[in-house]
Amino acid sequence: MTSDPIRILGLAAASVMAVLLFAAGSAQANAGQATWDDYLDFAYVFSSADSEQLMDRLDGYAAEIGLPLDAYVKRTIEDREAKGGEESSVTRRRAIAQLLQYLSTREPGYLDKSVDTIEVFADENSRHEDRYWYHYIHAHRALERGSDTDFVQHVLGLWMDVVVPLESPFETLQALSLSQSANSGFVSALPYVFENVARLSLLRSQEMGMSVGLDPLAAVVRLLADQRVGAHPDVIPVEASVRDYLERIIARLEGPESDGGSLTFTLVLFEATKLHDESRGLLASEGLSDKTIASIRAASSAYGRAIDLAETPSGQAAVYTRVLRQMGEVFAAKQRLGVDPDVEVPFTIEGALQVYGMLHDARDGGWAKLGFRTSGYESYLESMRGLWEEIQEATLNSADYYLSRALEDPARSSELTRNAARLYARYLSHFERYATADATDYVPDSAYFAAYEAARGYGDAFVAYGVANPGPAEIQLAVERYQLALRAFPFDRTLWPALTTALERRGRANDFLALARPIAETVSGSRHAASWIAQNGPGSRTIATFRKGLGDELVLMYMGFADASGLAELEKSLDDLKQRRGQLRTKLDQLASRRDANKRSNPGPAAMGPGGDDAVRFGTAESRRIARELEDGGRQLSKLEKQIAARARALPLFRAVVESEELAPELRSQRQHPIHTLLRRLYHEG
Amino acid sequence: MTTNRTLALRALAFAAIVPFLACAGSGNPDFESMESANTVEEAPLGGEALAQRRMDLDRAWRDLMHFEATMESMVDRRDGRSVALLDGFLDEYMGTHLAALLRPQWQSSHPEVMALDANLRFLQAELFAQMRYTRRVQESIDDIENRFLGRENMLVEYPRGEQRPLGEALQMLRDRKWSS
Repeated sequence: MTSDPIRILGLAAASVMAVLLFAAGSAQANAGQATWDDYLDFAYVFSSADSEQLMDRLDGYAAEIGLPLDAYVKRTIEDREAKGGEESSVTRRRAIAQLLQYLSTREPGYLDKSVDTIEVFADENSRHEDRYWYHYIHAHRALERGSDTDFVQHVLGLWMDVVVPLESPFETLQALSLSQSANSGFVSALPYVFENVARLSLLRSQEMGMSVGLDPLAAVVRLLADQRVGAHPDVIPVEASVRDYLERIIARLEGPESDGGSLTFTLVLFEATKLHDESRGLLASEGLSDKTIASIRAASSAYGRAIDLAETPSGQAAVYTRVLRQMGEVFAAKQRLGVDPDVEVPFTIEGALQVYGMLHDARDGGWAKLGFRTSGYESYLESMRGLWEEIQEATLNSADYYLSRALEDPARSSELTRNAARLYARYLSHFERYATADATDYVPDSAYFAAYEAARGYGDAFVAYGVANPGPAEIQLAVERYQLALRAFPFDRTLWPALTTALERRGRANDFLALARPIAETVSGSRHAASWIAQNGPGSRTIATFRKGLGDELVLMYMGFADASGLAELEKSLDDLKQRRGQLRTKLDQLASRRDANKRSNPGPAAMGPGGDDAVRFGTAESRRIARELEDGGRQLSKLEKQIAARARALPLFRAVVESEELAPELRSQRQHPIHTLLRRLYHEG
Repeated sequence: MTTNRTLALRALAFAAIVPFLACAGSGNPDFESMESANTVEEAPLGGEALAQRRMDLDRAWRDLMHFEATMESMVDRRDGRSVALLDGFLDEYMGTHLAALLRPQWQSSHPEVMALDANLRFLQAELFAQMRYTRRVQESIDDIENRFLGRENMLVEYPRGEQRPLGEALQMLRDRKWSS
């Protein structure tokens, strides 16, 4: 596999080579003819280029020199045989030439020859340049043979035999601006040595599939990152260096995604994430094509290798965090694209829940031993929260997928819906176990909104999606889940009538007020919500509207039993009441007039009305009827007045709730939204 | 601003490496002998040479921190095979490079480098402790005691990331010798 940094280095190497060759070979320049000796002496500049580029480069040099590299090699051997020996520099150059032939063709036979040739420099007292190539060539052979021990030993040997003795002189020369002087010898190669060791350890090792035993090289990687790789932009431009890559590896090695500092694990996980990125790109561009599915399988398999390597919960959490994201992406894509290909991801959410449990159990001590000693407590917390977020996202995405399939496949609807319900239930039991009031550090704020989504999803699975013949226990659980959903997110207007519907299914609609009132009171009396509104926090208008509305029992009843489309009907009923009140008042006024007129004209027992004919005599049956009607009417009027007053107060509040801006879509798409923090506080305030 | 004195010192330093540069075309300069010649020098250095020594000590200290972090993580993971590989490397690194760098007496009392010198010795001893070389830890303790006699109040960095008086750090190191 070709990495971008290598390509860049290849390009940069051309310009650097030109400068070096010019500086180094004034004699040859005068002669006007470059030789293989010149290029091979500076092969450390371009030897890390990828095979294609290296092949092009070698072809170009051969054309320029007028001699192919294999002919050069052959000639040096013939010369040696003819002369009965050769200078060590010729031996070294031949070994380098054979290595370059291997690197450009990937033909192991060349590497074997190179190893045989360089063997004459096995003596530790050989020149630094010879020792560099000795270890470099042997390290390549170790990779070719899959021998991690040999590979590590040769990289460490290279550091000991070449880097350690040359660093101080290099700095001296650098202080004198002579580090790149033509006469400074192999000392000037040190920036390239750093670059090549970094590429060998980080890139080439992975390209060759070395996925065990690299941990001792973590020391070398740390040394390289400490003012070495990328620290000489005058020699190797930063953009041509692997510095960025190295820094990313160091960040992983020492951060929350580390497996207790294991370089092997870090590199394998890094390669897996690269494959994951590739599959994600294919998913976006091609959907779930055969190529995408193959790519997803490759990434899953790479994550599988990483989880096999992980020895600490820290490392396991890092793998699960990433692989759950992949699972969520696959489920979301299946739902979005309406296809259901067979994509196996050899991980389960249960595994992730177990890892979270292990991390949680160590919260009061012992967390450092779970792989966080170097990365620290913040990394431990970050790891827990990150894993939780992926657990919740993977759960919600996979449950959504089952529900959407249930809609498309009525024959299997009940089965698929119950699958979704099981996923929701698993998350909810995880939530109820760990999302305690004192778990702020270990549980992300977004967990509460996710709990609302899962609880609502559970209830809807049995109430709204219409599972065939849900059992009483399932309906009872649906009622309880709706209550939990309301506690976690009371600002969903449609959730309140959902609770009523669930209660109706059990013939308990009358229990609505008893169940909903405590939740409503928590919201209306919440200090956190009041403070949020006072500070004009995000969503304040909606939160204030709900807070005011839920403080009114009649509004709560409307929320439970009315829907938005019935609002106009409710408002019409208020007008009807007002009309009835008017009619009643008129009637009562007339009755009162008849009674009063009789009193004025005839104080006797049976007086006539004010008109004479209809005057009612006091003490008659008629007068008693009027008195009774007046009394009954008065009570009715009083009742009507109360009803009108209550509805006149509650209906505008209910209308405001109905018309308030929805918060859920924003919260669903933004897991870092500030309202998540308020939801957590509200939940534990109740 | 470059002073005349600095220029003169640079000229001296350059003169010192000219013979090596002259032979660079045919091979590497003998940097090992140059290095060991410096380390056996007992007189306090100044100027560029002192700056170079400070740089060497600082680099060695940072490098040891990286070795220690790596060794610590491998010990934590009980990765005996990796520990053995790095152990072999460190044994050679400390036995040749670091031993030569820490040999001169003067740098343990020179005000510009003595803190670095002490920190490096403590870090090396800590690594010995991790590698369970108790005899070498004891030798390091004895060496520090001798070199810094009467300066137990000098602040040193031990363990990594924490500062404390040298006497207290020595006591911690003694405890560490058997508890690693």
